Amino acid sequence: MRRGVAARWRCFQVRTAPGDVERAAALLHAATGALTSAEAKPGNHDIIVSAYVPARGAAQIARRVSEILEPLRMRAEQSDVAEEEWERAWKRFYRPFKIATKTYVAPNWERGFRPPPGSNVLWLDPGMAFGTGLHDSTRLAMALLLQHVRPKRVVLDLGCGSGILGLAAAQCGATVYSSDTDPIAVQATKRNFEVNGLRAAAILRARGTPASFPEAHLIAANITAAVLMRLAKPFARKLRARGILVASGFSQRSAGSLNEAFEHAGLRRVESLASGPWRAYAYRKA
Amino acid sequence: MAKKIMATVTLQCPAGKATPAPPVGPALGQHGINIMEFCKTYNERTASQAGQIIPAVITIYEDRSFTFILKTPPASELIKKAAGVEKGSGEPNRKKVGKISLDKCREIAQQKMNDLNANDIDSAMKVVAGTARSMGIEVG
Repeated sequence: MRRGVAARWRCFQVRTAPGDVERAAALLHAATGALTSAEAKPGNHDIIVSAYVPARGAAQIARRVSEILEPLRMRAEQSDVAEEEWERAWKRFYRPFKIATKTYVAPNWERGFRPPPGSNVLWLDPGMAFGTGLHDSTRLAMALLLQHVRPKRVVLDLGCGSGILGLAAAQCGATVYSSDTDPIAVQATKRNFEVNGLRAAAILRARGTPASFPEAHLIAANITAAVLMRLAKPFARKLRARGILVASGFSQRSAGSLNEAFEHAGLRRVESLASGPWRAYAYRKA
Repeated sequence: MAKKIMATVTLQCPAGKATPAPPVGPALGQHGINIMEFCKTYNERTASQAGQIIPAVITIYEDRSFTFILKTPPASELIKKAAGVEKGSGEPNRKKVGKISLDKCREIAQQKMNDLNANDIDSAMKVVAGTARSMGIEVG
């Protein structure tokens, strides 16, 4: 599904009793082909079941919804929603915060924010990319990154999301290469480097460890356990001798097998951080 | 003092592959929940169940924090799987697309008992059968 600025969606909503949610969801799913959400609010007996389809072509689906629901004496309310409405909605609650010692993250639209003297600010507009800095996996990766990053060293931020880790490395004077498979992330990273007045050596849409990126002193990868595990060997190959890998985005559940994969790839764990179920490890190449 | 609950949202998502697209984006965005942070956590927790629809029941608190638990796949998904069909009928009253046995209906009802708010297996089976019929899938 395209996720662009102008995307509009038609929302079909059915109000139902709590015991009837599964059936209402199944009916809406059969009529629209879309996965559903169901929302309950305290003090409100009814549950609202919703399904969204792209607004273009919604008229035909609307007819099918009526055909299926009306014989059952059910009715779906319809409304049109623009994608930017929910993209914007959560931003109202995104405020400046401290992500690590002497490092703050502030939304790009809160330019009035002044951090305490001696602290840095990363200005950020993550859009729909991962990496607001609020997730434990980002905080843990940031702590490890800031501990190991040095000026003029080559840093790869692989699976860069909003670009947040690469930005922090660039702010420390490192030469940063960022990549992500998601075009929205690549766009967000480019925008965020610009907003911070920082330069990246390259920002690419790419999988794994891009061939055009040089061997690194440090690789930061806040992805998922499955992807990290698959990339253990490519990461090791892309690191210079004594280089550091900061791996994050996995939970306690997958930490054991992940560690095995990294050690098997010739990396030695030198540090572990934890927050709730989340883990982040730093490895050194022999 | 316990945090005040603002809403409870149940989202049907593909295990390991949740994205900000609907239904996730609009359902969470309107409550000020950081959509990508939810996707990341959901995908990590459901990665091993890839290929299934795993609903998440998200409790959203007044301070915009949230917790969630995972449920069994929706009855409609289990019914489709049991009937061996890819999707339900667009005209369930006129066009039937498949059939499941009573035993299969009972098996699904048992699996879904906790999620259906049903007091006993018979009422759970009624919900499952009703859902199947509304998808153009016969039971019996």
